[in-house]
Amino acid sequence: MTQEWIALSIVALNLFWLLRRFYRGHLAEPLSQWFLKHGRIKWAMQVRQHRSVQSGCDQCKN
Amino acid sequence: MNETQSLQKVSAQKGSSQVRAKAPVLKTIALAGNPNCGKTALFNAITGGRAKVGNYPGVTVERKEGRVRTPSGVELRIVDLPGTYSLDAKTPDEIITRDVLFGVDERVEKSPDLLIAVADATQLERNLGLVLELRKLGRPIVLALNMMDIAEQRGLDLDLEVLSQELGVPIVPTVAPKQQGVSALLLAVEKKLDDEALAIPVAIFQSTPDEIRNRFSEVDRILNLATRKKSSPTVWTDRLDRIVLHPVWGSLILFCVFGLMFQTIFNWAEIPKEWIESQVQGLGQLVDQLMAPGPLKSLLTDGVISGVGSVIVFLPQISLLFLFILFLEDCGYMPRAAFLMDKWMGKVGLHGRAFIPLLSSFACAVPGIMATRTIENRRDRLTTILVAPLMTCSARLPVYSMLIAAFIPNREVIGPFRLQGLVMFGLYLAGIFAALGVAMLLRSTVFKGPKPMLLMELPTYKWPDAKSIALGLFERARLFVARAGTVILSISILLWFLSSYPRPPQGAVEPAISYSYAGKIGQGLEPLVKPIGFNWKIAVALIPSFAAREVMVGSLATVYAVGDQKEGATELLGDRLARDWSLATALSLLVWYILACQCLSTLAVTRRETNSWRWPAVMLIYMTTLAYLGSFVTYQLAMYLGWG
Repeated sequence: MTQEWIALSIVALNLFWLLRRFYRGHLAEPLSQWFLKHGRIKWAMQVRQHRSVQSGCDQCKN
Repeated sequence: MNETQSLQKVSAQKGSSQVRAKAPVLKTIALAGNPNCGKTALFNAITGGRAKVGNYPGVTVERKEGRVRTPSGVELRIVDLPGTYSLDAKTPDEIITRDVLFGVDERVEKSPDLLIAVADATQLERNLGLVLELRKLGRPIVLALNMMDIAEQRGLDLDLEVLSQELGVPIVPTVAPKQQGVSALLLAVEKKLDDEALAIPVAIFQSTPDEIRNRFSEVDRILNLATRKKSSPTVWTDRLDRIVLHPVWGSLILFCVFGLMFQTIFNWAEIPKEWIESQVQGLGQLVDQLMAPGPLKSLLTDGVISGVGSVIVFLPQISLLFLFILFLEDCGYMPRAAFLMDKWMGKVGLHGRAFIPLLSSFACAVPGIMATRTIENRRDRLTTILVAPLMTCSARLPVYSMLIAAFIPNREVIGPFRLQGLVMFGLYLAGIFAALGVAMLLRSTVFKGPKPMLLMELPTYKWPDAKSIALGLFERARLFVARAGTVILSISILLWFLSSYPRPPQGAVEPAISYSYAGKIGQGLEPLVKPIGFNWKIAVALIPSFAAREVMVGSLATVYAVGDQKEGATELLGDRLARDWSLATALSLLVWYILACQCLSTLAVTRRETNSWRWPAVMLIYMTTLAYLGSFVTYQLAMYLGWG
């Protein structure tokens, strides 16, 4: 049972990390643009802070 | 008030927060010059490689800014402007440079206090035209004559005093990669900073053909006066180009160079690859011995070690691939290779400037797509963006290597060329021809237009710099390992969970994986992929690999490891697949990988560069359709030939 709990905890943490990375790399920018277009400036600025600095590809320095 | 009281008053004033010394105004220095003149290398040499990188607002043009302190302690802000051939701007890059130099919008970018015009000393006939235009701006200018070492090697002898007099600007010779001339340049900048700038109206820079002709006549006149001895590029570079660019011999050399490249990727990488494989297997066996059976042990062996280990083994091949690419780029051969391909590019309507983005896409499509900013025509740019992902990127290499090693015999074909290396070369060629085919279709239908004029600038040959190649190689290897340790590890863990839960019911007869979430998803997708020869395990592994291509190897490893009934199995993935798949399935998957759009980052950068969701959607749909059709034809043909 202990092994199972540890394994599932690792899976849960991993899923959280993956979703966070996807949100920061690919969702935050378009979402902040959408908020800006619909007049929600504060939300747009908050979401914009979450976005990842990189262009989204780990294989290249860009 | 006596003297003591006065001094007390002064010292109180000095200590008071009300009395503040004025902060010195930071001067802005802009680097401007033709593309490929070494501007960025000079920028890095001046700022020590410490730059803030961002974007100009509203456009996707990159903006680089750094700081430097001159020898006498003056702090300067250095801005690296995009390269431009003329202030008569056409592309987004050139428009940004022109607007910054004219100070069109001070909110976007403060107009520079001084310009460092960077010119390639080996190409002065082309570079000085821009310098003459910059002179008309009325701002203080210092001319950095870059690549002086190569110019001197070729025998060029310039009278810098005469050149400086004729141009009316101070000149500093530099060799940016070796950081030579940087201190002298900063001193010259300091001296020139006191000169006043004059405002020049924008209207002056709409060049007529006569003005352009006069400008280059002026360049010729100045160079005739200032050149004591002309350079002799015919010593070896032109002689070499007569062979390398020959339509027949050049094509043969191209074939041999790339054939040998892929051959060595297989041969030289074998020993380090086997060593890494043995270490990965050893680690799996160690965990198997030390831990009691259970989900955590299964996660570590079947998920983490299988998933990540199956990708890490390709590090030697990735490193060799990039070693060749960096070497060929650095010595100046790659543009010659692209020049030989230009004939075919022109026939399909691809713009001459498309060769750099397509060349970059051999490493990764993301910088390739970003490099299309130099293409002024929107139709040409979109065509290049849409076909760039078809160029075989480095992420495909682990999949190609794994399948070729498992299914293609390593027998000799001719001379040093063996079948595996030739098949790899063939896959790269297939990607190129697919890109050309799609470009031809796009240019004759959706993006119909006049055939663009092909114009290419070939950089000079030079001995590759071992240090920069080593640094580039280390960076690539580090990025590959980092990706394996982050995205691939993460997806392997997720897939392990999906392949292991829910547990099979009591009295189940099917393999446990069939009852899992992954099994159910795979079985649901199987009818869709059966016509192209894929089984449900491939279907499951394909889903996460839409995010990133190389994830496929780790995903397959995890799914097969979990599905394998033997406790503690550490069989290599290639051996498992060779047992489970037919040659027809392997070929079908290879064709799928040549054509499918399996990179979330590519779609994301396409959305950013086109400022629209339409074009990434078009890219995803057309490439998936093409991949499905290609795999279908390949699989059915292979089955017909009895390879099933």
